[in-house]
Amino acid sequence: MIDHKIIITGPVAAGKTTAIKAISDVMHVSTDESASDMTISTKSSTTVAMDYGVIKLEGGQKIHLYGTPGQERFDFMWDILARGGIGLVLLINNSAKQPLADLDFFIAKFRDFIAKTGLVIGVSKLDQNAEPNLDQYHERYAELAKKHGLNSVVPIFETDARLKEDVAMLLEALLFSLDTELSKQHV
Amino acid sequence: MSDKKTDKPLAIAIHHCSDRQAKPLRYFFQSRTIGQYELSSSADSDLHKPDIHIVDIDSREGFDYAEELLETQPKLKVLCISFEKSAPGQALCIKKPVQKDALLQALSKVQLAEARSLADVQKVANQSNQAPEPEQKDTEEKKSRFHADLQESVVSKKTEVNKSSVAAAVSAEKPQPKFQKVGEAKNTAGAALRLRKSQSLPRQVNDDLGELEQARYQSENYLQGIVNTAIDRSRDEGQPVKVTIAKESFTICAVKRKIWHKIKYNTLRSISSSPILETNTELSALGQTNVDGVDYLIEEPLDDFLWRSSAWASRGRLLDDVSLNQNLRLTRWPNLTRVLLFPHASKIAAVLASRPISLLELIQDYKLPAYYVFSFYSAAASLGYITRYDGPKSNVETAKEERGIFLKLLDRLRPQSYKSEQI
Repeated sequence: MIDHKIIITGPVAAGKTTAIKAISDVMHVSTDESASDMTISTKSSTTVAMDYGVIKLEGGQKIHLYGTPGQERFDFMWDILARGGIGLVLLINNSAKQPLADLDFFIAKFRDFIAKTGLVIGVSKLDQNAEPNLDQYHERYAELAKKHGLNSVVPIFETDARLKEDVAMLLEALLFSLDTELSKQHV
Repeated sequence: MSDKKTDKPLAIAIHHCSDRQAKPLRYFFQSRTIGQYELSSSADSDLHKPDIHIVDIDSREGFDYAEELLETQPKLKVLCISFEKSAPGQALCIKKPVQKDALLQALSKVQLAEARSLADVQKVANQSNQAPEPEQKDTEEKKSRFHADLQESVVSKKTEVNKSSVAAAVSAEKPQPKFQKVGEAKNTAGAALRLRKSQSLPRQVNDDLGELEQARYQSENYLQGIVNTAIDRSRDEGQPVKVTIAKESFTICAVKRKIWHKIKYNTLRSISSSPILETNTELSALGQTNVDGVDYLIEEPLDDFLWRSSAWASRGRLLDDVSLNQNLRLTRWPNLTRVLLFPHASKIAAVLASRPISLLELIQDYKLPAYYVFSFYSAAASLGYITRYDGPKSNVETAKEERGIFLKLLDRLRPQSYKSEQI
C-alpha cells in the first residue's frame, strides 16, 4: 500500500506546527526545542527537525503531513523531508518584518519541488498586520512564477492555522490544482 | 444537568456558522479563562454528544438544522445566534455580533432551561442582548477606528464635494418604501422569519442549462453593479464613497479595499438578489472632514462583500456579457477561506485556473452544475478575476496515479471544510 505525503513549509511562526495539529488525526509529533536565537523574540520554542501528522483514509491508507523547521539554518532538512511529497503548502507569516521577501525565499528554495508537484499558499496573521494584502501576494507570486517558470495562478488564501476549516480548504485547493480531473469524479 | 455539577466541562458544538462568526466563538470557548466549557470538534458533534448546540440560523441550512434539532429532540439545549431575533419554536436566541457577556448569560440560561419556563428564558436573553455598556463601548471603539481609517485613506487630492451636501447625504436618510424587500425585512421578527423561509431557494437548484442560459441578467441593475460603480468612483476621486439604496447605506474605500455598513445578512441578501432602480440609489463622495455622521457595525473586505452580492445577484443566472463558448481563464483564485463558499467553488476555480476553458465545457466535460458555474463566473468576473482567452488551448491532463487516494482525502476533508451555502 502506497501512502503519500504533503509538505508544509514556511518561515518561523507562520503556523506550520499549528496547522498540522489542527488537521492531523493522530497526536502530532513535534521536535520543538526552546528557541535560543532571534526566534526567541517571536516565540518561546521552535521546530528543529520536523513536525509530523497523519490523515487516515478509508481502506487504511494514510496521508502523511511533514512540517519543515522554519529557520534557514535547518534548510538541509527541507530537501530530505520534501522527497516523495505530492504537494507543498507554504505558510507565510504576515506579521513578520518582510513577508514578501519570505515568499521569494521559499519559492526559490522549493522551485524544483513546486514545478514537479503543486503549491498552495496560506497567509497567516493578516489580522495582526493588514499589509501586504492578498493583492500584493498575488502580484508578487505572478512575478516569481514568471521568473522561475512555475504555474502562474495558484491558490493564495488568508489562513488561520488554528482553524481546521482553513487548513482543510488549503489541502482541498491543492488537490484540485494537482489533478483537475478530480472534479469529474468527486461529488 | 448532572454534568454541570461535576468538574467535567460542558461540551459545546457550533453549527452552520460562517468563519467570521465562528472564529470569535471558538476563541471564546477555547480560552482558558472560561474553563467550564469545551468545544466539541465537528467529528464529535453528532446530535447526542454535545451538551449545548449553538446554531447560526442566518443561513437557510442553519435555520433548518435548528428547526430539525428542536423538532426531533425537544429536550436538546439549543442556542441560536442571528442578526434577527427569530429562532425557530421557542429556542433561545442571541443577537449578532455576539457579545461575551450576553453569550455567558444565555449559556447559563440554556443550562437552567429545564427548571424554568422557556418564555422566561427568552425574556432574560432579550435583556442580555441589549446589555448597553459593552456594546456601546465596542461601537464607540469601532467608530473611532473607522474614522481614523477613513481619514487615513483620503488622499491629499482636494475634494470637490460640498460639505453641507455630504453632511446631508450622510445624516439625512430618506426612507422610501419603494424597495419592497428591504422594507419587509425590517418588519417584526415573525415576518422576518417568514421572509427568510419564503426567500430560501429549494435544496435542489434548477440546473437546466437551457433555462439558465436564457435567464441572463445585467449586473448594472443589481447591487453588484452599483458596488463596482462606487469602487471606480472611490478610486478615481481618491476618497471613500457612500452609497445609499432606499433605507440602507454603506461606505466603500477602494484604496483600503474595505466596506463599512450595518446591513443585516438577510437584508443584504434581499438587496443583492433584487433589481434596483437607479432612482433609488445615491452615491456621494466623503471628504476628509465629512465622515463624522457615518455610523456602521460591520467592517469587511470589499472583495468578500462584492463576491457575495454578485453570487446572490446571479442565483444561477449568467451575466449577459459572455458567450457560453467563450474560452475563459481564472487569473487569480478567490479567497475561498473567507468569501461566501458555495458548492463546487474550489473545483470550478481549479479547472478555470489550469487552462482556458469555456463555461459550456466546464458544465458538460466536468459535469459541474450550470447553476454554480454561472454563479461562480458572476462573482469572479465582478472582482476582475476572470479574463477571456482567444489563444490555442492545451490538452486535458492525463490520469494521475494518485487520483484514488486524492478522492479519499477529499472525502475526509469535506466535513471539515467550510459549510458551503446554497445561493
